[in-house]
Amino acid sequence: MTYAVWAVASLEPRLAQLVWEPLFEDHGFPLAIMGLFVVFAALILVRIFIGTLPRIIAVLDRFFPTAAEAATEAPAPQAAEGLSEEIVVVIATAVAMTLRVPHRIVHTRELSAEDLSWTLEGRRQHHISHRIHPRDSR
Amino acid sequence: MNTLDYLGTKAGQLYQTTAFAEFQIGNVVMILIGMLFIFLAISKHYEPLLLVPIGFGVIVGNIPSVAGMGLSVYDEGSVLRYLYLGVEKGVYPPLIFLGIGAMTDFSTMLSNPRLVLLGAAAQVGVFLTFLGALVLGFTPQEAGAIGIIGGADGPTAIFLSSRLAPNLLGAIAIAAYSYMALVPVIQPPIMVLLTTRKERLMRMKPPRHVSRRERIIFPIAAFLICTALAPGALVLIGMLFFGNLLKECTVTERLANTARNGMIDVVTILLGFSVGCSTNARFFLTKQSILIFALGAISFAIATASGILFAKLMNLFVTEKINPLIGAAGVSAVPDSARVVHMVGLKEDPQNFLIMHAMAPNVAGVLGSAIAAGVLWSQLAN
Repeated sequence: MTYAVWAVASLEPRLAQLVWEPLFEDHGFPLAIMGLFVVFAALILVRIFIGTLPRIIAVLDRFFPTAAEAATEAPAPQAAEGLSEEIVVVIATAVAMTLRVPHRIVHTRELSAEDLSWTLEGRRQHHISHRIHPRDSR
Repeated sequence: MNTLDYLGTKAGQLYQTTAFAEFQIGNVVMILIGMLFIFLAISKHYEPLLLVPIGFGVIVGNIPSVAGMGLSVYDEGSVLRYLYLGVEKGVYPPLIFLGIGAMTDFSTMLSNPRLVLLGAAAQVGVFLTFLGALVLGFTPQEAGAIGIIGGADGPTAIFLSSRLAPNLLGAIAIAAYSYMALVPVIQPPIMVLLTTRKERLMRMKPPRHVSRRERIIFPIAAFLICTALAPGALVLIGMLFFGNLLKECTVTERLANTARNGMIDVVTILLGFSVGCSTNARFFLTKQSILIFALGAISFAIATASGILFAKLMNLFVTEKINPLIGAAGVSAVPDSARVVHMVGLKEDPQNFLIMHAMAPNVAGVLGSAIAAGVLWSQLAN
């Protein structure tokens, strides 16, 4: 319970009024400005580094060619099983050219057994239309 | 003593050993809040992975413990106390950062580095709220811990408050995670208010391909740059980039998988649940907590607005314009704020996909808030 007593004791009523003096102390405006400066400085340096990264990579590539990388890079994913990427692109282009208005695919799903119920019903009726007779046991 | 008196005495003794004897209205309020969290998580899908553990933890933490039995997170030797040590000692947040690093793809940031600055701009909210908390009478340490809520980064907020203001840890953690969960509610009105329709319709150039070498070099170099300037961010940024290196080097796939799946899930459960357990009404329902929640909301709103306004400012100087909406993703609620940016953009133009662009300031925001936390910790620890 020691911790509990300490936690309650720390909840002193000292938040009753606005106090402006702390803003002008070391831990006020100066700290806020310095903090923002450090955040911006660090991220600007990161930005500069990223900007020079392609050049660093080009130099590295000259001395350490990336043949291994090319070999280990995952192959471009096939857009759909059985269809090459070119065919999918052609289909997408054809759809875009045909519609000629901005459109959005809201939802796609595979047909379930429920969607195929007409087909299934037709197939069922086809099957039961043949009456199966037991073989003549005579 | 007749039988009735005896039974009455025993019933009284039994009542004293139940939770009802110590129940207060505050506990009921907190239990209702816990249920609200669970409701929002399940029915509205607001950060369910966080709100369900926190919400249930809130319910658990508000069942009054019986005198003499160490049960709550505040009782020395209780099981919940041991689970809570990971929060109190700042162990869980770096482990979460390791998992986040193993999930994060920095490619979009590497392909468009100027968007990094939006992650820095959003940290204005942290420091303005820090000043606001000072004015309201909080100590500089408490103000620093409260300000970091504006980073919208729960683990960072917990880490910093465990270092600077452990007495406010429960309130700060709940506020930070609540605002992370409420990103889809808080951000869109600010985004719409600060941008014109024309700006929201802006399209950006698709990101370029980033080579594997770039993705491997980046975490090491960026770690060195960030921690050289803000050594206080060493633990959080170190774990973030370590996780990212595990992912990008491709030879430690098993470790990366563990970090981004099993490990982060376990730590999230422990962190969320034990933070929830720490919200006993006796310590949580105070004027301080209400102020922390109010300041957290202001901080988050300022951070969102700062990112958007900075993007508009950048547009004055660059030829390739930036859609200002993505500035809102400078807060580090990954990937929620990027997703919100995407959704707001889609409302104006169903063909404008902003999510990949928004991920750049979003991951830069993680870096920015960790650096801000490092600065505050190093300056206020003593």
